[in-house]
Amino acid sequence: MSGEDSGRLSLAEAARQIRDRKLSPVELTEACLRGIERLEGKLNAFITINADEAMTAAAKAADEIAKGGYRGTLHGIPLALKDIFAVQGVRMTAASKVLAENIAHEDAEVTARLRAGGAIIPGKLNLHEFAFGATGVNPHYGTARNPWDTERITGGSSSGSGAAVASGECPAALGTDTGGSIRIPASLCGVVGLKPTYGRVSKRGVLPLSWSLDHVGPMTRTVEDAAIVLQAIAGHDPADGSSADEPVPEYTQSLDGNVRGLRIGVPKQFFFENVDTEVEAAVRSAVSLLGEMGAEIREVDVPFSGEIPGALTAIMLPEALAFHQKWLRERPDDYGTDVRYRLELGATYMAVHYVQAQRLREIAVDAWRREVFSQVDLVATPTTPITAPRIDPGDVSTPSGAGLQTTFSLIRFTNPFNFLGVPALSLPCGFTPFSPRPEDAAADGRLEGPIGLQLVGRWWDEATVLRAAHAYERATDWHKRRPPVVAAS
Amino acid sequence: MDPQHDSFLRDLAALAGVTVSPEREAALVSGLEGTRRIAEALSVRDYGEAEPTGRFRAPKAEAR
Repeated sequence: MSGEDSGRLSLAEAARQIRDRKLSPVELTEACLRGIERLEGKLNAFITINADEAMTAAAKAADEIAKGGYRGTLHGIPLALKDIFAVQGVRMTAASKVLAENIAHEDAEVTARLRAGGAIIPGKLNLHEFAFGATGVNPHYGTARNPWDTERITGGSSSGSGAAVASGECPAALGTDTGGSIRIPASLCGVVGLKPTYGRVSKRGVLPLSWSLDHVGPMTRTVEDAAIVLQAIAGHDPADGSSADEPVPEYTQSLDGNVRGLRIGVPKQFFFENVDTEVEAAVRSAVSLLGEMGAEIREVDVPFSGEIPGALTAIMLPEALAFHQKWLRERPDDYGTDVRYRLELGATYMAVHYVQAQRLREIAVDAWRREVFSQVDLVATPTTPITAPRIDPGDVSTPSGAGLQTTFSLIRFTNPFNFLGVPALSLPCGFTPFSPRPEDAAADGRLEGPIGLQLVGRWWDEATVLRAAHAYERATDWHKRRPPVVAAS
Repeated sequence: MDPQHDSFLRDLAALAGVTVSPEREAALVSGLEGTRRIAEALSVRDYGEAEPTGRFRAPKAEAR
């Protein structure tokens, strides 16, 4: 196998070849680094590339494996981190000017767990500044670009994670998700993104946006790969106050390709309103296919869906302001215009709004438990109501301009599940032509963008979400498509 | 812009430790409409006996 081909392997396939000593971690890491070198000029997915450290770690992994010390599925696998995960001794900028020179003094808990499993960290990935936005448009480090059309956004905030995984720069990445920041770029870039249950994965050493709503999760090209990465990072961390002491099942064991008997709910309200026609058609077609495969499809009422986004805002904005208050007071001009605006807006919420929103969270969780998850095992929705919009620098140069509308549209179907804390996964379920650019029309070459299906499960039941997603993936070939930027490079 | 409105907004932001420059006031005033809608929706609901989700955890008991 050529080095270039090994860079396109799924994580699971690369792991099998490494285990069987058909592929060396050195070859695989070299292939990833070559891909990064070839594509970064077009994608801008990385903020920091640790080529030397990655090659040293790869050589060490190869040596350990040669001596019979194979540690498991992640041993020798390159896995990049959004630049808000601490990696000891490595710059952690949060894609901000404020933290441009910040060096992490110790590993985040998830970094440590990945390294203990033998994963190799080739670099730190671009994001929306401080993870506070859904477009990924960044005034400080440039905007990560969508591999399916580099004139379009990846979605955010885990923008670099989406671009890097979709393009094959690395087989997997970690992202964070406060209102959709894993699932939105997964949807817009055509990869798998999983936001686990709140408390499933430690956040210690991850720069917060909103303590009550932040989640950490994997972004990969296949569902099996997401299960593998989740396995490595899930589990109780006593030093993280939000981490839960819940048993962690063997996620890959649930991937049996079978959805027979699963009850999948299709929301009667909210989640199919104001959706692009092609997006709705693709998602409904995906649900029909799951039905043909043996799942029972039911329409369900989804309580509080219209109220949740406002309540989530009343929690997220004050928490974000509380975290940023000191820096915002001392260095306000170092913030991008859009992020500064959102932080300042946090000052307009009163304590009573925050407390009532947290009370609503209790009520909404109870309602979903009683009224939704007593009827169905999963809920299926579009991840985003639109495919990737064009990059508009005005998104961040004006505080309340078009970017705000784009953001509002992108987060509408994802942020309810941050509020509820349930696991939610996005995977590709179709493609649709982007509106043509003038140069494309002349060349008669219309580009297509991916559509995301979101599957939502009960609290702590990531296994069922992964099971259904994997079965759908096996029955389709959306995940096998390669973005044009890869073919063109 | 309503000067009284702006003054209120500046005072409110100052209470949260945020200094809003004059050129940024207009944008924040427009955002205030969204806050008002959300605040109203949160204010009219009957929450019954629901308590807020909380994170406080008492430290483990220490041996004496």
